[in-house]
This record gives sequence, C-alpha cells and structure tokens, in this order.
Amino acid sequence: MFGLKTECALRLDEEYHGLDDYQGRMARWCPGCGDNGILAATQRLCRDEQLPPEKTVFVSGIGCAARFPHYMKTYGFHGLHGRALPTAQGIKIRRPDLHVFVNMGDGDCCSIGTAHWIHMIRMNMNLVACLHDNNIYGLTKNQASPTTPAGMATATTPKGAYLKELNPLSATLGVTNVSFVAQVVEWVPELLFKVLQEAFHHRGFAFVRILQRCPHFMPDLFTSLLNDPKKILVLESEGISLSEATAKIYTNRRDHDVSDLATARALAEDEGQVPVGVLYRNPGVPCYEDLRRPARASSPALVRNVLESAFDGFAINPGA
Amino acid sequence: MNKASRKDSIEVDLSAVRAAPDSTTEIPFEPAVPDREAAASRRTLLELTAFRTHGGDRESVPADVWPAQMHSFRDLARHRLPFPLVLSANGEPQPLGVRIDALGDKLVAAHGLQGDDAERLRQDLRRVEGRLRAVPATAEDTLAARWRKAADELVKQAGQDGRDRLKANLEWAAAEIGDEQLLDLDAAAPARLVRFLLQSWWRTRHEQWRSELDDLVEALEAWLRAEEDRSDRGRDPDRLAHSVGAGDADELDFEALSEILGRSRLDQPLPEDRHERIGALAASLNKARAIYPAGEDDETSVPSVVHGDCSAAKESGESDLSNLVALVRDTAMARIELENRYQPKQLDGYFAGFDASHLDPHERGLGRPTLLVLDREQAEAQLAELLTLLSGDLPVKVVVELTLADLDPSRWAARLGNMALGLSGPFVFQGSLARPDQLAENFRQALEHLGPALLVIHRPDDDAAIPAFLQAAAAVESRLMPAFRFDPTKGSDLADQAVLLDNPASEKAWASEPFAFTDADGQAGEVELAFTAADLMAVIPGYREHFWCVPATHWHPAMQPLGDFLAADEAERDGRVPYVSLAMPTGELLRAVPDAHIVDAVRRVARAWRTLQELCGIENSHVAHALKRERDRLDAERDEAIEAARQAYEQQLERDVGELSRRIVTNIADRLLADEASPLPAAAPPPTAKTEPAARKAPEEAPADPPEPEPETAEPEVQFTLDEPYVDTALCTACDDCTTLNPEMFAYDENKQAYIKDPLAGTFQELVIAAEKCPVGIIHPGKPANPDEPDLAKWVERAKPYQ
Repeated sequence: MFGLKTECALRLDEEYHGLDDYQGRMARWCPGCGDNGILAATQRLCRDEQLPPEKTVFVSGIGCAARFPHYMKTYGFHGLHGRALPTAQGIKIRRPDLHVFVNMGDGDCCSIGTAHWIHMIRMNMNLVACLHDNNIYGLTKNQASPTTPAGMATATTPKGAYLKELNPLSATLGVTNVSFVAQVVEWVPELLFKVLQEAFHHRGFAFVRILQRCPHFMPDLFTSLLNDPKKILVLESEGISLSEATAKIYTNRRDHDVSDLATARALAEDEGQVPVGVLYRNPGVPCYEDLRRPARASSPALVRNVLESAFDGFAINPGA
Repeated sequence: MNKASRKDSIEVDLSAVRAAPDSTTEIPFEPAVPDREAAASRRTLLELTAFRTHGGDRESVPADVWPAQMHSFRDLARHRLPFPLVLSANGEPQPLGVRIDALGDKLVAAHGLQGDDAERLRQDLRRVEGRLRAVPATAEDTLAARWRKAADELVKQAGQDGRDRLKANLEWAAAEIGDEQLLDLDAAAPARLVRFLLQSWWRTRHEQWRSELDDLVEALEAWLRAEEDRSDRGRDPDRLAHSVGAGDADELDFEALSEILGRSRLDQPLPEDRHERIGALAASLNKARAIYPAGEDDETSVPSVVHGDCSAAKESGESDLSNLVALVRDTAMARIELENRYQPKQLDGYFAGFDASHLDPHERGLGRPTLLVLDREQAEAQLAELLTLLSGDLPVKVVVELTLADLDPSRWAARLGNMALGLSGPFVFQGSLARPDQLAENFRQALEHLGPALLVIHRPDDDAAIPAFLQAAAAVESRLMPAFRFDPTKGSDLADQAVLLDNPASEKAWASEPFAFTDADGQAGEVELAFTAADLMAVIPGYREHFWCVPATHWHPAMQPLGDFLAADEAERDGRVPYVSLAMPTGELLRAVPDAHIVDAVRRVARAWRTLQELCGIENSHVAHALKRERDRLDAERDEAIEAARQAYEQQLERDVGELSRRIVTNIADRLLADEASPLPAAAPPPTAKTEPAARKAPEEAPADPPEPEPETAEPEVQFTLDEPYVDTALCTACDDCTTLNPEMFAYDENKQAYIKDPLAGTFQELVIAAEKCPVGIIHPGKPANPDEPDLAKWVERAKPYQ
C-alpha cells in the first residue's frame, strides 16, 4: 500500500553476517571426520539465509556430533544424552521466533532418545533435526549403536553386531504425522547444503539423516559408496538437483515425487542402493505449536489475573 | 526456524507490547471493550446515528493518529523511499537508493570484492543511506556533504569489531560520491523539482538549433567583416598595423600598404540597403540566440518562471512568442540573404506581415515555455485568466500545487484536473511526488507539448501529522487526487489520449488490502479494508471536527467500515453506522465515525473517480450499454434461428412420418394382396454364416532380436595434463586438514571449501602429504615446481595415485 511493501523494508539495524560470524570455537573433531562437512554446510546455510545469530539455537545431546553447538557462534544447548529433542521442544514452544536446529548422533537419536524422536515426529514442531549417522558410538570409543551394520565387530560386539541395523528412514516414515524426511551423505557438499536448505524451508519437523564417515573407528564403512557413486541414488525434486560437474559423478538419478509416501517408504527400504535427497514432504501436517497456540496473547496482566482468580478459589473471606 | 515465520515473532513481541503500552508494535490491536452490553445498547446506536446524521461536538480525532492502513509504515526510515532525489548533472533526478546501489556495484568491481566482503560493503552503504535520510538537512546540502555527516555519525557509533572495515568502506565511497544537489520531499519539493526538470530539459533541448543560429550569425558577420576590410576604414594604416600586431610592425610601411590596397579594388561594395539589412539581421539573431544555451554547461539562459500571476505569465508567453516569430523570420531572411536570393521588392512585403500563423509545428517547438506556479488560492482567484491561458495556444505550463487540505471535494480547485479535460486542448497531468519518475516523465511530455499544459501536483504539508511521502502516496491512493494524463496530441480519440497512471486497484472504487490486527479478545483477525477518501480526511486538520473518535465503550455491532458501507445498497445501509479505522502510535485502533458532510464529500470523490475511470476506458458505461445491446441482438437472432430450425425440423419430420406411413401401408396392402394369390413359402433356412472369418493373421513374427545397442562410444574426452596442483573444490568437506598443514598454500573460499591459494607457498612434499591426508581425495599435487626440492623422486612417486 502507498507504493511501499512492509516486507521490502530495509533492515538497516541489522548487520550482514558472513560465514566467519557463525564460526564458534575451532572444531576438535578427528582429522577427516564427516562432521566438519556438516558444520561447513550448516554455517553456509545460516549465512545464505542471514539468520541472526542471536535468533538461532543449536541443540544437541551427547556424542561427537553433540559438540556441534560449540562450533557455532549462535546460541546453543549441549544437553543430556538422548534429550536434545525435548530441550529443543521446550525452546520452540516458548520462543517460536527462534530458528531451532538439533544435532544428534545415531546413539543419541536412535537409542536412548528414541521415544522423544518418535513423539517429535508426531508433534511435528517447526525445527530441523540432523541425525549424524556414523553407525558407531565414537566419543566413547567404538561401541555398537542401533545403526551399526549386523556382523560389524565393535568394542561391545567383538564377534560382530548381533542384530540387523535399525533403518532410521523407515522408522521415521512410519510414524503418524511425518512431514519431512531426507537423507544425504556428507561427502557431497553441494547436495548436503541443498538438502539442509530444503529442510530449513519446510514448515514442520524436518528430519535429515546424514551418512557420516568416522575415519577413526569405521574407516571402511562407506568405502564402497565412495568408490562406486552409482550405489547412491540421487532423488531429484524441486530444489534438489546437481550441478553439471557433480552430475557427471553421480549418474544414478531419478525424478522423485516428494508427496508420494509409498514410494518414499519403498526407497527407504531398498537395500541395493542409498537414496539421497528429499524422500518425503507434506507441508499440510499441522504443527504442534500452531495447534497449541493460545487463544489470547499472554501478558503479565493476564497471567496475574488468572492466578488471582485461581487463588481466590482457595481464599478465606473473613467477612463471610 | 524460518521457519522464522514473521508471524511467530510478532506474536511474541506482542505480549511485550501489551505489557508496555507506550512502545510501538507492528500489528495494531483493538482496545478492550469494558462493557459490551452497554456498547451494544440502543442508546449507543442512537448517539452514533445522531452524530452520523447531524454531526455535533464530540471527541475529535487526536493529532498523532494515522489511518490504520498506514500503521505498518510508522517506521518510515526503514523503507527505501525514492527520496531524497539526487539532482544529477545529466538532468535525470535519481532516487538515492538507486545511486547507492550503483555506487556499491562500482566499488565492488573496483576493489575486486567477492562474497561476504562485497555483501558487507553493500550493507554498509545502505546503512549510510538510511542514516542520511535522518540527518537534518538544508536545501543547500549536497550529496557529498550530507553523506559525510551520516558516515561520520555511523563510524562513531560503530562497535569496535566492525569499525575499521566500516571506515575503510565509507572512505572508498566518500571518494566516489558526487556533489550533486539533493531534493528532499517537503512543501518546496514540487516547485524545485519542476524548475530543475525545466532547466535541464531546456539546456539540452535545442543544441542543434543553437548551432545553426551560431553558423548563421557567423556567416553574416563574416560578410560584414569582409565589407569593412574593403572599406576606407578597413584600409586605415593604423588598423592595418593593429591587424599585423607588434612582431613585424617595424618591417612594414602601413601607409604604403594602405595606398596599394586602395588601388586594388576588386569588385563593387554591397549596396547600402543590403548592407544595412545584413547588419540588422546579424544584430537581431545575435541577440535572439542568447536564450538558447550554448552547451550543457551554459547556465545563462533560463526559461521564465512566474509565481502566482496568470497575467504576468501570459505577458511572458506573448513576449516569447513574438520574439520567436521575429527569430524565425530573421532566420529565413538571413538564409535567403546568404544565398544572394533576397529580392526586396518581392519579399519585404511578405516578411513585413510575418506573424505567428506562419510558424509550422517544428518552429513552434523552438519556443521557450513559460512556467507558471500557482497554489490553490491563486488558482481560485484567477480562474478566468487561468482558463483563458489553458484554452489558448501559448506554451505556458501551469503547475498548480494542492495540499491535502486543498482537496476538499466541495471546492472546484480539487476538480481542476478533471475540468481541464473538458477543454480538450491543453496537456493535463495530475499526480504526486510519491512517483517522482512518473512526474518527471509527464512533465517532460508537457514541455514537449506545443500548447499550454496543466499539471496538478500534490504539495506536502510540512506541518501535517503524516510524513510527506505518505501524504503524497495517500493523495493518489485515496482517489482525492488520482494520477492521470490527458495528451490531446496522442491519437484521435479518448482511448489513446486519456490514461490512468498506476492508481492502485484502478478498476475498483477504492484501493483495498488485507488488514491484520488483534481484536479485543486477543484473537488475530484479518479483514479487507478499503482506503477511502475519508480514511485520509480523518487526519487532515480542518476535517477532524467532522469525525467522532468513538471510545471503545460505544463500539456498537451496527458499526461498519466505511468502504463496506458505501459498497452496500440502500436497504443494507439502513441502521448501519460507518466508521474509518485509525491507529495510535502504540498500535491501538480507534474508530472515527464521519458526519454527513464527510460522507457526502466521499461520495463526490467517488463520483469524480468514476467519471475519470469512464474517460480512461475503465468499465465505460457507453461500452457496457453497447455491449448489452449487441449481446441482446445476437441472443435474439440466435433464438430466432433456433426456432426456425426447430420448425423446419418438425415439418420435415411430419412429412417423413407421413411418407413412411404411406409406404408401410402400401407394402402391407401389396403383401396381403400377393398372399391371397400364393401360399406362404416355407420358413426360410436360417442364414448361414456368409463369410468365413478372415483367416486369422499369423501372429506377426516376433521382431528380430532388437539390434544390439550400439556400444556406447564414449566421446573421446580431451585429456588434460595439469602440471599445476588443484583441488576439486566443490567436493571439499571442510575437514581443515590441508588448511592446517599449510594455511598459506590452502585456503577456504566463501562457502568454506578449500582451494589452492598459492601453489608456491609450500613444498611439493606438503602438497603430496595434503593429498594423502585429504579424506575425500580431492587434492591433486600436479608436478613439482622446484626441481631442487630434496627427495623429490620419492614425493613424485607418492604423488602418482593423486594425479
């Protein structure tokens, strides 16, 4: 109106944020750790979206991946093992204006934090959760995690892991209210960035499983994938496509309808190849914070009135 | 997350606002209604209706209140308004933001900045731009001066972290910023802008013509000089000595030279009358050409600008016209004279009667326009003179400046633009400085127009509660001053001549937009709210007393936004009380009920707007009626055709049925008659299959084995042999290994992916070790640069897997 658009207003009071504005402490992951690439892509996302550092929170539990908040120059919460999601929930419900990211390892998310994971999917709160899946407990030195492949010898399973590994994609896609599921490998930085960007733009709980190399304890885990890019199936969809150079390496690609849940589940369970990209997206699932939005805006006066009236119910009126 | 839905953040902020009612908020909110039953009572309705009908002495609208639709622009400094305008030397007024962005691009290119550095530079420049708008300014300020003030303030306030960068960026910019004049949007702006446009237009308008005049004058004067040289005076020894100068004066005998020259007369001198004529023409043209600038820098010739006096403008226009007639006449005479074709007997009479009617359009276009600037009072006081000027053919460009208070629909001055359309002769433009580019373009067209022009331009009121820009934008948006142009020279009918210029929602009665607010119960609401003339009038001094700013205790359910009220039919309006929504600086919404005077005024505005719409071809009623007539005619023709076809069909059917019946009866009768003659034949055998089914086609032979797919002949790829080391940057996972090994040799780009910054900043050995350590194997060491490096053979061998 009046030839002006409120959304085009100059944010003169805001600083331009460069990549270094998001760099926290020096990363202390092992040399060659895949977490470095995830950190770089996430910082790039923050820079490209110009997320105000004071309005951005990274929440983690315990594990190698959980060191993430230390390396971001934003707000962060390095919490308890398996409890990253409930912490993030608390932040989001009280401060829906913040950009909330959750970084969990496979132990954090798929073992001790499983209950929170399942219910978070169902609640569909508006945040991004990255599962840094290196198939091992790295920080505590090589114990089997739920995603460790069957037969893999670890400190806790020296004769090989007994159980078939958990499939976090199938698990997520099977939960009521699932709204965004993606998978990506951290050694294709371009794709990693694009998938994170799509997850960020999704309104709802965006779950991204990132296959991550642990060169120290699992040096050969993804060697076959690295050596044979054809084993990676790139799912091309809106926002997800490869540059010409990368497309020459990753020739196994297909167009994918991200609204097709059945195909997404079938792809997730395909053991012959590793699908990367957005598997499923449904922007129509309501967010918990929207469903629970209070009918009237909270104010100190309102809180006082409600409390007063509640206390009045127990008051003794000496005059009566 | 951005998840960052802006709505989320607003809601959170809102709770803080409620707690601190003196702070501003983005979403306006309705106040709590203390007693809803009392508000909805019949008594309240009676009070509201009484004011609506008869007016009265009620709470009027407070001074710091704005129309509710404007509330989101309270912090106007955040918006990139086109002001101040930079009045650049090329005559093109340029919005400050456009200049700053161009400056940013230039500096980025000049200093080879990329990625974040380039973005930061642009952001720094925009911050100065925002600050510059807030710097208290005088009209004399230049861009450079005000830029320095704003930049100094900004650097002083900058934190320690970014101060050095900011300072460096702003010093670069200061070196590049020009010293053009700035034009702020205030009451003086319209007159200043049109004067600037007039001068810059005139400065470049007649360069060719001025150069032709210069050539003519030069040729005439050359003749006169030659004549003088040959005259006795020209041969005077002193003059000859003077013409030679001091150098060789002693070598010559000028007396003797004068005598020799006197003896060598070559031809006859010019006749006396011709000499006089040429002298007069040279003098006249020499004087007349001065009004045309000799170049872009020539500031001496300025078209006349007259303030407030139609008669003076008329005199100036007439004087300019008579000068133009004389100039064109003298030019024609001079040209004929220079071709030696001037026959006094034949031409003196013609040129003696040379007047304005002899000018062709091109020659008229050489005339100098007169600019007349009037305010409302002056226009009203001199209506007859004004109309005479506009009906004539003098190139007087009349600018009438009207403030919002002048736009009272009951005054004819507010309808001046519409009235001038009826004169059909003058070029007419109406608009505001909210679109300076539109104004500049149309003003130039008005100047190009050979006859008179009327430009009705909104003038901001410096004392108004609303900022000048919003006044200008709202003048157009409220339909009080719709933007339009009428150019009688464009085409032959109104469809080409009359154009509405970017009025919001020009096809509707009022502009409207969704309006978000929080209601008295704290619920978020959104309504489509029209911006009527009354929404603006409610905050203009002089109209405020015609509104009752109704307290929340009187918010009766029968109240209805004025836009909806006007759109409803008579029956629906019954029992309704219209109101306009206003907002306090805190965001608290108010309702102001207009009295009958205002509602009547709004209806007048709507009617004038409707007329303008029709003239400009929007939902033209003549067209609509003609369309309806034509549609009815076509419908009737179609119905007739259908009816005729139906009747023809029924008749044909009747005939066919009759014929068929006749044939059946005849056949039966014939058969009966035949039966009587011969017994019935035995039942005929059932018909056998008459034709063998076509032999089933042998299944088509399976096609021969599909041709072997041609082996993919991979296009021979050009093999590159790279001696230089390189990194597949796009595949880098930012593990820090190489950059830690040798930060001089390896660096990260703007996306934190590694590349080789300086291949010579380390040894070949380091390159090979980096390649070996790289977890994704994307470092290629190339060939060693230094053949004397120790153990080179070993490292070359180890480098092989990574080439």
